[in-house]
Amino acid sequence: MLSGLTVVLVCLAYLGVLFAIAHFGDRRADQGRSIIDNAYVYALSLAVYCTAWTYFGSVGRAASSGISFLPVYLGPTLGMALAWLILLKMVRISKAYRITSIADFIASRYGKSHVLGGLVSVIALIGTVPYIALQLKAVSSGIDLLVPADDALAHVANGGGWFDTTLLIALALATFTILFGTRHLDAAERHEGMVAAIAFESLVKLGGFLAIGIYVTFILYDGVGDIFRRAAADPALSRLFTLAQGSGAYGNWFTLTLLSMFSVFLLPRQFQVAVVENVNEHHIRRAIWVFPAYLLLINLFVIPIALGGLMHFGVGGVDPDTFVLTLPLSHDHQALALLVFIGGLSAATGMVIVETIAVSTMVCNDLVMPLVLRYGGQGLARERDLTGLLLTIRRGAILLILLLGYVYFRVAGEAYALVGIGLISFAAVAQFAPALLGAMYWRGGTHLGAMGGLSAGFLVWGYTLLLPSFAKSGWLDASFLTEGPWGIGWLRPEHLFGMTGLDSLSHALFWSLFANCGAYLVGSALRPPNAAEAGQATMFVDVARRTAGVGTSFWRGTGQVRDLVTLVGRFLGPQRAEDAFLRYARLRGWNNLDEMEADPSVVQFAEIQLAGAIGSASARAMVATTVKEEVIGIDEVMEILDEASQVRAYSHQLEEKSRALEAATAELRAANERMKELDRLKDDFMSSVSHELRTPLTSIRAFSEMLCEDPKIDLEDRKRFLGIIVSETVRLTRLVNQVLDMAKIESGHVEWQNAEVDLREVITQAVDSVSQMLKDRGQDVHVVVPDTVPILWADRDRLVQVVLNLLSNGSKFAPKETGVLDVRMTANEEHVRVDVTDNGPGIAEAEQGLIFEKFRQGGDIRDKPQGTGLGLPISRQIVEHFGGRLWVTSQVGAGATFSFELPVGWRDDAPDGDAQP
Amino acid sequence: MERGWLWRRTLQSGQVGETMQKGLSGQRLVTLFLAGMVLFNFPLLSLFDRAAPTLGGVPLLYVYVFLVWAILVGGMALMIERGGR
Amino acid sequence: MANKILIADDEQNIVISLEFLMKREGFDVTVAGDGEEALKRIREIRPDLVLLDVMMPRKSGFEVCQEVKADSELQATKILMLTAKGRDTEVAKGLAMGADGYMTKPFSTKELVAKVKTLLGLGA
Repeated sequence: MLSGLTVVLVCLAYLGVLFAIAHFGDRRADQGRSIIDNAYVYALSLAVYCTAWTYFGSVGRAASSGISFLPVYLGPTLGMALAWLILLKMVRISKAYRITSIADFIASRYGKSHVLGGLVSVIALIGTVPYIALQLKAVSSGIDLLVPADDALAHVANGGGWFDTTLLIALALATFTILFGTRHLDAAERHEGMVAAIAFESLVKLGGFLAIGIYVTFILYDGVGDIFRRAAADPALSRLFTLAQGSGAYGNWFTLTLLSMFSVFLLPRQFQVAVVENVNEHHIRRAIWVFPAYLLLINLFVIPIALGGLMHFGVGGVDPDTFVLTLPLSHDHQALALLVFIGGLSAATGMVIVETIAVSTMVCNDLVMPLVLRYGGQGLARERDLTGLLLTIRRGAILLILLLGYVYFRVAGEAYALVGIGLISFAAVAQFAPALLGAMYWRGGTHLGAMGGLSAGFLVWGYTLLLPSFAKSGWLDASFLTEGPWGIGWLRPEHLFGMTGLDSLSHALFWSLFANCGAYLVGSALRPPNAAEAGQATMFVDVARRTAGVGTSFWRGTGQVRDLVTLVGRFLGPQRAEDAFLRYARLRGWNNLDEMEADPSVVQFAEIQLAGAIGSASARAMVATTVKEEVIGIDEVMEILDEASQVRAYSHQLEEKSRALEAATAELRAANERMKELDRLKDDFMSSVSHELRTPLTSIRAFSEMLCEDPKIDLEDRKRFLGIIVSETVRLTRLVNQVLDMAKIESGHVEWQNAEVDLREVITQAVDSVSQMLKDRGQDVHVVVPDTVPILWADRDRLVQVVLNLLSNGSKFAPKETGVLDVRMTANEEHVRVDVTDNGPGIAEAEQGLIFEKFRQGGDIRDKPQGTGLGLPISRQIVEHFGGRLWVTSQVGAGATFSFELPVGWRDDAPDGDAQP
Repeated sequence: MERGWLWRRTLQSGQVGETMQKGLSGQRLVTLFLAGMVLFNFPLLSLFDRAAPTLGGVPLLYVYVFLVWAILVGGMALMIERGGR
Repeated sequence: MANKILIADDEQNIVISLEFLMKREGFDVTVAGDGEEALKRIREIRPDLVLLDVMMPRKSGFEVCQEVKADSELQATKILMLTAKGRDTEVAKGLAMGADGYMTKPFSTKELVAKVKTLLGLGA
């Protein structure tokens, strides 16, 4: 066995290491080189969740009911998946309004109410003190195990009445907490050194637990499989392999999951490390997986240790809560036992330190300060620097809480009320959930609702969970549980209104949250939010927009900046206050404090500074003593909100508009490009028309002038020249007609004389009109048409124009004398198609697209075709007007086929101008 | 790997939550949460609530719970760390 | 000996009229129907002056003009550009290519003859 002195020295040395780390952390923080500005440190500090209850108690619970302890860690794992949603918002709100505890959070949201803050503090205090007692008990029983009963220290410890090792430890922890938790009053209430120490403790407890786990699993036994195989042989052990059958076990499992999911955000110590001590909100991100990974690791060996212990000591031999110590001790591995104990000490001290700081902040800011400020009298009012008083209150609260914990530990001893406190405590803080979640996501919650909900939930919790735990400890008559108070059966605390089928925890959680939520909702619905509530509701719910965007202040009044500085100085220290205000003034563009006007935002700044030190409710009250506040009615708050939202809406509109403008600009640019392109096309068109007009005019003028001036030209030439003049005139006329036609079609001014058309007649008519010309050139034309064709709805003359055009086009390119034109018409139910094939030189692929452009004449032949270059584009426009298409297929040297296809059943949708038969 | 994960960029703007809320990552984490709630509770849990078969001696229930837990943690780590780069 | 003139245009009727006009003035006339043929004829017969249409198949009047002016052996060849596109840019382009004169279609036969004679250094 270890000597008591060794154990005490090791404990003191360990605490010394913590001191060193915390001191280093604080010094670095003062230098601005934070060591906790790290996501892993943040995640490790969250692991303060794992207390001695985890370290020693998990094994105990596993030994009695197998895996059913695990939801306590599965819940936080799942909860962390939502941390980016919930925790992040809590951090934002708390940072924005200098909120330093969960009591302040709730009080601030529901109209900065002293009463509400006080209520939350009381609930937290009641839920916490037994939990702290549990930690003390764990350390104490650990020391008892390590130190032999005949050791000198043990004599002191057990014979000295109230003075024992546990008290020593409690006092040591109080000293530590006071030193690093209330080093100075910080407006942000952050304790970097403490967080560094807590993160370190998380590593130590993980290391200790893994060490014992590996020792039991791989040294005492032959691996995990070996332990389970051996345990399987014992029916008393193998029953632990499954959850107890029946819905109750699953119900309990679910309840635990839910409860611990809440707890990981709502326990005072969790709120402290996760929200108040958060250095940088981006650390949350990595903690989302690192913290659950930590939980997974620390639970890996719980069941192997429990089974190993049960097999080694036999069921009922040794308290399973102590297996982590008794297993190495029974194998005479004292060094390991000491290491494991240090791990347990870490778990216990970490929890105690953080929880005490968190609860003492609440007690100070939300219970004591309001009373001091109200009843402090004249002397207090004249005091220029209250920081000393504040620190004293805090330190007193810390000492008080730890002593309360110690007293509870001594009173409760082995009672159920201590052992079962872990989950009872969880259920207490779960009562914060409705008011807290409602605070962040619901504008309608009011002070009345929150008060009602918290009170109702707390009362039901006390009745269904706390009192039964007292009864189970023998402090109350057992008939209270079995018969109900005064024998009233439906009031039995674990079977309220006769409800059965739920385990006591699920039962209590159901009824307490039912009462809580119900009262919260009903209370909030009773009357609309007042000015303060509505204002705070918006500040909380819209925290991201409020802080990042349009600043909104719900305070209005008049005052002197100097007075505000003095006021803040009373609580933060005059120099610190002066510095803080000066920094703020510079930020706002003022050179010194005397120039600055006490506008609402300055007052708000002062209030937020104060809130960090004394809580938001007290801060509001103190500021109100200094500045003459004009009462703002709900209407005005709504107006301010409205203005703010209007400004937001307006800026949103502006953004929309500028986006629209950008889009419009882009469209305009595109339109401009199109216009330029059209302009260029028009220019080209005009230039082409000009060229086409000038060319025949050139011949006409030249010949006319020569004929006119020179009478000596012989008759033969005269005739020839006049013939040329006539043909060029015809060409000119045709050109003018086609240009006008084109322009009309393009601008949509054509009057389509639509009627029922048999395309065969169209072809016949067109072929008839070119037959003479073809005969003159010695070209043949063959026509093939089907017997029956669908009747089309179209402009007959226009279709004749198209076919004529294709025919004359083909004729132009077909060789004289040997030229042959094939006109083939085909029809099905959907389309009528006409192909006009010539045996000319064909058209190269590259040119096939070009020939449909205006004034592009195909062919590269010496004998320039006598076309206008408008025939094909016009034909194509006509065909397309009737819903069809016109195209060419050709190979060089193998003639060309011009085809068009018209849909059957096309109808003119805009019949104006059509001559309807 | 860019889509949805704009955390780095939002470091400056302080819009982490909003980005996550709107982004894929937030949705993924919510999905993971819902999956966990279902996998860790009745009735799915009851499917595995038996001592046999064992995996190297370890009862099925234990294997299942720890495996799902590890997968969830791994999933969260993957979502967050992969997006961080 | 009469001056040699080459008429290059793809419009048959214009060629006929110019040919008649030039022959009447006593010039030795050759004709070409496209740009390439025009260049070939210029190298063959070394005309004193070319009446050169701009819009011709195979090779445009501009190209022909450029090649002629780039050929040191053809420096003596005068070029009178004829174009149906009356834009100023066309005129500028033609002159930049080194054309000696420029006439827009339709032109006055008298002016054309006068211009031809001026370019050939024959007193009007």
